[in-house]
Amino acid sequence: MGRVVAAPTGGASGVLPAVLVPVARALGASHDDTVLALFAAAAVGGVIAARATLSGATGGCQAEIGSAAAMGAVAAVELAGGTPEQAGHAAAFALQGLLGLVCDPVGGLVEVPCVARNATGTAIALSSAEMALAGLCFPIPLDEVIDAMGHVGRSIPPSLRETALGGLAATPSGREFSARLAREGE
Amino acid sequence: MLYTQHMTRQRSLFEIIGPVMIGPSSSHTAGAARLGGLARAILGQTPRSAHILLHGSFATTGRGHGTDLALVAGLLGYAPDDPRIRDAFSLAKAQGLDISFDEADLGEVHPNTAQLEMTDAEGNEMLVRGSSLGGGDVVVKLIDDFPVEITGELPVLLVVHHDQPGAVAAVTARLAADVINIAGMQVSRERRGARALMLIATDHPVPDEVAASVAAIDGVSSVRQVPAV
Repeated sequence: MGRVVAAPTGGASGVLPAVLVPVARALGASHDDTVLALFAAAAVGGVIAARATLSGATGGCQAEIGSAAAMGAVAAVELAGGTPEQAGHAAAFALQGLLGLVCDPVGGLVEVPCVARNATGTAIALSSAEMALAGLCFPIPLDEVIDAMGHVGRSIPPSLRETALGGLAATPSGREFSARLAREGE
Repeated sequence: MLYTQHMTRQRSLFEIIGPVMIGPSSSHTAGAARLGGLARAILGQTPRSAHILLHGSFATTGRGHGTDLALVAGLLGYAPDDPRIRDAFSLAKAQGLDISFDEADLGEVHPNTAQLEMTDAEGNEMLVRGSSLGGGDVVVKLIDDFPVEITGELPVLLVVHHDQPGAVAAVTARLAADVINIAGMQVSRERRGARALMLIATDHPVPDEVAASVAAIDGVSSVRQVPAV
């Protein structure tokens, strides 16, 4: 239990630094430019929070890693000097790529698959930024993609929304891991 | 607060990237610490004992996220970024706070919901039920039998009074006399002419002397200042 900055949540807080640090370094971005990129990412995160949700328990992992990937994509576009329109497309590319992703933490811990999914989200953030910067446009506007994410989240069954009752958490190995943890905890 | 068809409330960008918190989970750890902190503030002191019911995802994955530790840390008054969260059980024991947990089905409530049944040093009992909405946002939905909505964003004055004509006017007039702006207000009652609750959110904390003068108003039985958390 170490100290982190939720971005937008604790379990998805690896994506933004994993995008920002190497991209800022590669582009030789200043501290101020990097801060502005963080603001742009936060703005899109704010729209997602207002229209849909950032909570895995409400909307599944798409709401956490999906949102973090969208925010990371926006930050990368901003750092690369892209337009606000390109940032919007980048966020839409990232969010649609993770639409439907369930929250199924093994043993209820923010470890498996959460740590790996932060890396997945980072890769999707970067590819989404590349697509937008290359001039590709996602045909569904970002607001509507966010609304779709919210609707999909509400139709994900509770077993796949951070209850550790389905998905990877319910596999034989997932259950065995969980049982071992419970024994060690006693 | 402005609502449109789609949008819920607008959040500060520092809530989207933030809060600074003890991990691993903003909903199950940081949010739980804030809920515990709100429950403590609503009770008005560190409880002597707390029986905590965990519902939904709090029940099934709470232990892995340290939800139980964080709720207790909040009851002790620790902030969500306080490293003492991981030692909350032993610190509670040292301070004479008796804690017990149960899993419960609280019905149609948010999946991350906890109900804290607390007893204070004088033996008074109080029930606080709240939910963690994600990203560290929380809402208290129930105090004893009163449905409420307290998010911890703004300081709130909790006024328990007798349901009688003029009670709301007397309290708000007292606040107006001290130029205290009311940001939001909820009133509810057990039944006609019985115990009632006024919940007044303000832009700035209500000074102690003003709270004391509200408490002196005829028909008011208790006043509590719940700070922003």
